[in-house]
Amino acid sequence: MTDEVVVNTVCAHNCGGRSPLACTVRDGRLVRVAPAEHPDSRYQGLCVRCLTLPQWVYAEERIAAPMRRTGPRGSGAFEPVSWDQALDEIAERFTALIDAHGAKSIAFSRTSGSSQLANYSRLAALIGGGGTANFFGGVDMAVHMGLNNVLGFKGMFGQAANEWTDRPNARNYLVWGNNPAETSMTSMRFLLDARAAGTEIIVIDSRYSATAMHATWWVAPHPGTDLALALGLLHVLIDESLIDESFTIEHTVGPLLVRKDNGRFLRQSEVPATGSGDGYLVIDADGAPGDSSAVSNPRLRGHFEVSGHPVATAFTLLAELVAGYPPDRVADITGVAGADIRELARSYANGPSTIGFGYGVDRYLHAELLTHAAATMAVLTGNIGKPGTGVGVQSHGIGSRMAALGPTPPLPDWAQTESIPNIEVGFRDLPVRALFCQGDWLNQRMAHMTRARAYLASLEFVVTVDHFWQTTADWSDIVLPASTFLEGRDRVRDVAMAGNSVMLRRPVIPPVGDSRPDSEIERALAERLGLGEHFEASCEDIVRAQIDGSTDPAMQGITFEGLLACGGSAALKVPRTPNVQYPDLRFPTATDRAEFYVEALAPLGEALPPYREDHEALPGHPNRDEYPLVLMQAHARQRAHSTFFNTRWTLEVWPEPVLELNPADASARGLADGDLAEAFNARGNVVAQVAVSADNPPGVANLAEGWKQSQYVAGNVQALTNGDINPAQQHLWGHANIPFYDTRVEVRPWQGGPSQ
Amino acid sequence: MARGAIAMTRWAMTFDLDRCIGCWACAVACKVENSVGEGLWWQQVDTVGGSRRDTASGAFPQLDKHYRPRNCFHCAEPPCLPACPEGAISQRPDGIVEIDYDACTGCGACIPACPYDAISLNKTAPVLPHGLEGGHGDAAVSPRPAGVVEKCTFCAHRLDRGEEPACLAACPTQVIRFGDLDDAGSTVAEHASRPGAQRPREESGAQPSAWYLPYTIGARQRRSGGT
Repeated sequence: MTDEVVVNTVCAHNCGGRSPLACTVRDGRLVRVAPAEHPDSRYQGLCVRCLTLPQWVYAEERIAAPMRRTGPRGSGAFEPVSWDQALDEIAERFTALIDAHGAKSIAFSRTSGSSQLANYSRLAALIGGGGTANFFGGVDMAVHMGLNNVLGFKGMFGQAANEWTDRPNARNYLVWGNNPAETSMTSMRFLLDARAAGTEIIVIDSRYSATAMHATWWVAPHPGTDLALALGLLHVLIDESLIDESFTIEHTVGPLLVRKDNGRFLRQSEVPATGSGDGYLVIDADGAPGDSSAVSNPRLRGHFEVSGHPVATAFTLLAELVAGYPPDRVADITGVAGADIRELARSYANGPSTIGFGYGVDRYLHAELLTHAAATMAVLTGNIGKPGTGVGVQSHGIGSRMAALGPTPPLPDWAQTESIPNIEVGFRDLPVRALFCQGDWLNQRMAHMTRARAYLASLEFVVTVDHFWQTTADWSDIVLPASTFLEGRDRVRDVAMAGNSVMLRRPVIPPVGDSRPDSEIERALAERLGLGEHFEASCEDIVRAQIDGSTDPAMQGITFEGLLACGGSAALKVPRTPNVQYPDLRFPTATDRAEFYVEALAPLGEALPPYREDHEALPGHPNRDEYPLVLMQAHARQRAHSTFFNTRWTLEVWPEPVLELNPADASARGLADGDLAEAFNARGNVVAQVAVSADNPPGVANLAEGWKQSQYVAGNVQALTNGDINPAQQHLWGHANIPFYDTRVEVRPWQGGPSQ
Repeated sequence: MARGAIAMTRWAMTFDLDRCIGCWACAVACKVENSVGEGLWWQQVDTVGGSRRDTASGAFPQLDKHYRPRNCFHCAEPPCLPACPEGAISQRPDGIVEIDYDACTGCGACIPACPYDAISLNKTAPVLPHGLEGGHGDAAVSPRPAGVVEKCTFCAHRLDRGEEPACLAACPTQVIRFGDLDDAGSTVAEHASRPGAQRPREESGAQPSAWYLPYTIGARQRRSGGT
């Protein structure tokens, strides 16, 4: 007699789709994952990765027990130890380091597939009286930076496009550097539905992705030249008077005066005749300066002198910048014909038009300038704040309505961490001597692996907590087996908010093997470090307080016990009409306007987005002759970053890393489909099977990110990637994004043998 | 065909190739549902394009690529049925072509008879994933011993419970439709009767219970760049 139950939970992984999962558990084993009923049926569905979860939780690569290193770092020599031995050793080493060097000697890194209640952030803030280092960021951030600049800061992952259900309302939909057909498959239906409704689907991608294949118009600029394309589009919009002038005057900084000497907006206080406030000045219809909030019809264009200050309107400065990017010049840069650039700009202006970004364009050195320029396109044409419009990120399924949850237990005032951008790790002199690493930091969060590995090897003590034995584990001293989000002893692990719904994430099976949930590991360490009093609330206590303590009207009538009783999820009390961003056209900026002129970046010459050619992917880079191929690392269907690297069901379809080469590039190097080849540059190498693929343009290679060290013939794609820092990003946000695609390589036949 | 004189269900499947993204969710869902072992697939997703999976034919940017799921199409005149020397293949009144695993000897004669390469020989007992060696998916699916042929059943065990096939439920882009062809109001009947809908390899004469709505986007697609 079998015992079978179906338990609903919600996916935790970092495509962000948050699919509700119906998990069949038979005789205590997870044997099937199927789509559970979504409270908002428009979002019903899951992807191929969710389907492999049963195989994933029981995979052979699961870490069987806590392990302690017995050989040199990287040798892979470990011995199993008990949980008590492992946790005691971590606590002793941390205590000794804190006593000798302070909390700053310990760093934490966490994985993106985790959640707030399971990512050690609480422990990190408390250890040693506060002040541990938080290695963070570097991935998927730059596109948000540029959008934040123009539209107002709304958090690192805040700049969403309109809700996915809004796409059929667009006449033109620019899918820019985004490939939902291979990354966020559950979002792809909305694109297809929009196409069926007559929306022009314009996919901008250098490669013929599975999303590009579904475009009505595929635009393929050379890698890293998207900003030139955007400047060319802005050129046409202004040159052909396609902008919405009254919208630009009313809602953007277009009419605001900019001082030519320092690049700053001219303020009332600098021109006493206009008043004593700190308002921003414009020129009125009679040519007199005045406060922008008082002048009804200011001039949009012109150079002026006000109280001895030479000034110009922000719009005029923009027009002068983009005057330098006529379509014919942009065609030379991007490979997109000038006539097509003109037509694309005309289409865009004939809205409603939506721009939805993914993170493909995020992986170049100046990605924030691209989204800055694109947001400028939107606000100059009034393509924002209405159905069918908008400019934002559409990855991770974001954009639907959310509700604020009740508070989690507070931390003492002194509890804190110091953020250290991943991209600076190994460059900066850091006081860090130990790293507590959740997930595969080395393989996934860092470029230039040789340098990152040397940094890891220089540390006194490294702990990795993970489900599977991955690349970083080999370089660790203690490795702890964490349960997956599907395992646990509590009724609830945490809570997710997506698709206009609130969903409990519930464990469906007990911990596999000797693994423990992250929340239990965190609590056990805290107790050993004398911090147990801060971890008295269970996950269930916390989630109950988040649900029942919410005062958001959208959560009205939704209770913790009610959710548990009805399958774990409920629709928020929100309208079904698609969520539109900035519906009141109020932008949370200093000027209350959309700031396509970014005052804070004036000292760096990037108040307006200039085209920069100093990065590795572009043909003018000095590395080009030696390393003629641009190496992209597009995301693959079978993984969310590196999660699911080991599920056999999808490995049967896509079994190994492949180095995709255009037929011309392959034959020029004497390579045929299936040959082993080495991609190399001055930073390192990777060896993989060649896939001859015309889907990549000549001069562009591709090797999907997320494979593990054990899966390559030799090397690692991250040994090739570029860790250059963009100083403008550091200047404005305090950290920089990693330009993974700004990577050039040469490729040659591999003379060594296949991997063992 | 084995249909009776009274009106009854005639199951059919349609595939809207303009919506297929080649993700294999259908095929993996099938594999999980039916405990299909390593190396075997009851459903696959073909790339129609270049010689390697996921690649296009043509030269950049004038490329041609699309995806096409393929499984047993439960033909009205199934060529596999007469090819079996043991009489192990039969057809239900609703059109589902079944294999009797007790009668099958694994001779493989049916395999080349299928125009769709939809039948595979299970040379060993199914090799199931680590930790799931006891089976996964649906408990109602019959296990296959070593040495029999196996293929898509249209998820007969689910149909018998009033559920739709696992592939269709898992497709994130609504490519697959399933239903009763004789129900004029069904989506599947409407899709099968659309202009351009084509049975796979119509010339086989097998009268498969499946229709492809062709991929039309590529031929209409405007392309800029790559110059």
